[in-house]
Amino acid sequence: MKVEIRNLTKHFGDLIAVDSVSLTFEDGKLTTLLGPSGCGKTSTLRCISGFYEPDEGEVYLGDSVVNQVPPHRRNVATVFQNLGIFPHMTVFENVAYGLRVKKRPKSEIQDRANELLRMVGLGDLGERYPKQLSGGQQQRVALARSLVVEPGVLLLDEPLSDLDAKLRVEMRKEIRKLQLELKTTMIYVTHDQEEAMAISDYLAVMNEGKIKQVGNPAEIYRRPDNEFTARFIGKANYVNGQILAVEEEQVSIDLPFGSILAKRTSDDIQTGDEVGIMFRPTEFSITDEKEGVNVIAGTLITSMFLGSLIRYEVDVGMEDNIMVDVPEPEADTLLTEGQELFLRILPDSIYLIPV
Amino acid sequence: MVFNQFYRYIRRNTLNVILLFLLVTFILYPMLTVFRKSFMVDGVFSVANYVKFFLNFRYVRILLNTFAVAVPVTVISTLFGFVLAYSAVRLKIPGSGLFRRLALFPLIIPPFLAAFGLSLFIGRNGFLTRLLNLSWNVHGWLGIVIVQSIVFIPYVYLTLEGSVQSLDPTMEEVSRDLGAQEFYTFRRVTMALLTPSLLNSALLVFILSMADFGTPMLIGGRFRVLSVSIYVAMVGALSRVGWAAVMGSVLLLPLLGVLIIRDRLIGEKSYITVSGSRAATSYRETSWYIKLPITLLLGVVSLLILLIMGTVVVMSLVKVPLVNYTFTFQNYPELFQSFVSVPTLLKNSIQMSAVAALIGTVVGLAIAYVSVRHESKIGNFLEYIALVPFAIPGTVFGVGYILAFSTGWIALTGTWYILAINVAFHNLPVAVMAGKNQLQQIDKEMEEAARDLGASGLRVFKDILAPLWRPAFYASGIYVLVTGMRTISAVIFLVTPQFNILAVKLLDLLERLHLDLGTPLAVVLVAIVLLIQTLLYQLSGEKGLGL
Ligand SMILES: Nc1ncnc2c1ncn2[C@@H]1O[C@H](COP(=O)(O)OP(=O)(O)O)[C@@H](O)[C@H]1O
Ligand SMILES: [Mg+2]
Repeated sequence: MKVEIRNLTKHFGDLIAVDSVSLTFEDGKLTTLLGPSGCGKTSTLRCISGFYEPDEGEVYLGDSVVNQVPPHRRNVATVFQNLGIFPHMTVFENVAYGLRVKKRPKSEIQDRANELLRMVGLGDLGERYPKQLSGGQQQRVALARSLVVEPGVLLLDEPLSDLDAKLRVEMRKEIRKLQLELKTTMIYVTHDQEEAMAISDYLAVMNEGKIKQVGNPAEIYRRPDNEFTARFIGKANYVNGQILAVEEEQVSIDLPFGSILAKRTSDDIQTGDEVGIMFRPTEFSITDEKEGVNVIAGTLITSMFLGSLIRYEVDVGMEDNIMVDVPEPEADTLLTEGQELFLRILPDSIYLIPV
Repeated sequence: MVFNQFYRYIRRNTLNVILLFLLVTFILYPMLTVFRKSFMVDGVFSVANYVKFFLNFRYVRILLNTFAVAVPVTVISTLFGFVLAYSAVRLKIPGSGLFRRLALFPLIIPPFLAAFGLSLFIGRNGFLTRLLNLSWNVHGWLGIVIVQSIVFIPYVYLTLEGSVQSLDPTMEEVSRDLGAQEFYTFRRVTMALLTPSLLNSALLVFILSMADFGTPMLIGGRFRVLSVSIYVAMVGALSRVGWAAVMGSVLLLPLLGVLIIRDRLIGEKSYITVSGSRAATSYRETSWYIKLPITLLLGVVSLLILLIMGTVVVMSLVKVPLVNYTFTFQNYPELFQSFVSVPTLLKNSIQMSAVAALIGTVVGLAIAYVSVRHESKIGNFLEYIALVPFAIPGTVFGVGYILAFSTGWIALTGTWYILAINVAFHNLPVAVMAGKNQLQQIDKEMEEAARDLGASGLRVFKDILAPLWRPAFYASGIYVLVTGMRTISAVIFLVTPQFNILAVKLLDLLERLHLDLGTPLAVVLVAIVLLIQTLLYQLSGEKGLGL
């Protein structure tokens, strides 16, 4: 089921938790709301599930506005952060609950619940009580319990945040597999950008109650169109600058540490425009040349050996230091801290962000 | 449009509106009526009554007497209750299970019965006094202090037990580990953490002591305290309700004052807790020189309770109590044939208490729900009002009901359900706290998950809340029921010749020294309460207080 919110606004007293958000969640896809803690993700979800009433705007489930429909009449299921598993019911009873409430025939309940338990890999544990399960297994119970009612949309609010790192990776694969298998529309909430990248068809980056950017993970990663997204997604260096000259193929930009050339990506760039520049840490190379196009001089502050790469933090005379990742380093090429070095940025890898 | 919004607000807050109405009607209104009455002289506002009270040495004396009892009782009960709670939870004391059982026993007997038992035992004409041919005199200040100190221990215990349990023993161990002496650890860690709960239990005992009039009436001799004066003013030959209101206000005003500033003073609220699983005890090693005095102390208290109750039982089995000690069982059949219509009284007691338990628990849990789940101003306000009866002495609560519901828009006195309502609302704090404690352990997301899967509000209540809330429901229900069976302080003003109850009749008999009827009736009453409580705990499958 397609879900759409239009100009959704939610206040708590003076605080605007969700600020006129419009967004479409495609049918059968997994869309993630990604943003730092407190940016309004949960509030948005709760407006969709019906636990909050929006102050302004509309929530569409399918084609109908559901603002006035109470939670239990919406075709929406939620996997909560604390799971909300019923401790006084067995695993099977938990999973069967939604069907019982809907007064489905006994045989159907039996079959459906068992099928779901099998799908999430809990086929044999139906008679256990939730207390007797591990954290990962409880997670699966919560998933099965929500999916069994074949919801038009499944909401997941940071469902993995209580699990340890390894289990988190495993469970997110599991969720994605189920989603692809069942083609359920899912709205997934997380503040973990790696998790968001790994699991989503589409990403909506959120900050301070507003949507900053929407797109597929690759687009968002490569082509952030605002400073917040650029800084929040992946490790990125971000600098403000001004356009010095615009040529056919290239533009030259004035930055705090000198001027550089970048590829011209759009037609409406004009001399004098203020722009943001983003470059990923991997898009530098360390060079022996002391001068040349896009070569910057700097001082090495720290170096960190991270196994498959080495991360340098370089002072180029700005407030923020620049991060540089060098892949597959050889131990003997390690630079010493305090040393002067030169970085080259490839013109193609510089990405201009309108300010 | 405006009307629609108003309508929606009311509909969404139906529960709040109903609860507010109940609390205002059955707690605030009667109390305000007491104050109003105390400031009324011949229909005009005046402080003349208070002037009269404080300028009369006799009344000031009674007020001072009241404090002279309440202060030592508060200190002793709190200390004993704390020792009991701490040792039951933390120390390995031989026989501590038995001590606990005996020390909690006063919770199920009418509060005045211990006073009566004590006077039978070592009173002026007591069994032991006669036997040893002594001439001591416990009637008066001493007797009241002894009895109250013992019978209020359980309330301290129930207030403290949870706090002691939630004290992480690791903290004590860390302190020891860092080289602190046992006493230093106790003082700086254990006591420091328990101070709020201790202050709360002390306050509770203080209020209970001021409210209790059965004990001073039966063992106080000529030593007058305020609660007895209120009682006499209410039921004496020329009923002086107005004067009772003045004395009630003198009692109530400082208590409400304490309640209001308490939040700032103590910062943390803890009340009698009757629900919640008895957590696994984590004992710690203690030296014998700490265990020994504690064991002795608990032993003495337990023995005293045993002797007091034992005396009552023995006296019910002799020909003429205190005079002729020939064994006989005759008193029991005679009781049932006498003018004391035991079956009717019993039926009345049970009927009244059961309804009180139902009302108190339902209203209490509803308030707990609103206050925990809605997190709204109205929720907090409702909880605040619901906890006020904690500070209202039963006698004053009774006077308030007489004044408020005799005439006017709710005329209920003379009906039996006003008794049930009175008991229910006086014990509301216990139900609210039981409900809150339980509810805080039920994750809100469980209810939302159920709603989300299509369950309506009612269905969520039935499937999720009710089963998980059951322990609180039973615990507070049974507590209120048992309290209803044994209470007198408020209901004594509300009973009528047509609808009397067991406990009130018992006080009546004992006060008039109908020992041959009183002692067996006391035994019957206690036995029945014990039976009902055990039965209910069995049926509900809850562990209960383990009495
Ligand atoms: N019930 C509430 N009452 C008051 N403020 C709230 C409530 N729920 C959320 N907020 C506030 O709204 C903002 C957004 O919260 P939330 O939607 O939970 O963010 P997220 O899920 O992204 O962490 C936060 O500042 C939070 O403190
Ligand atoms: Mg959240």
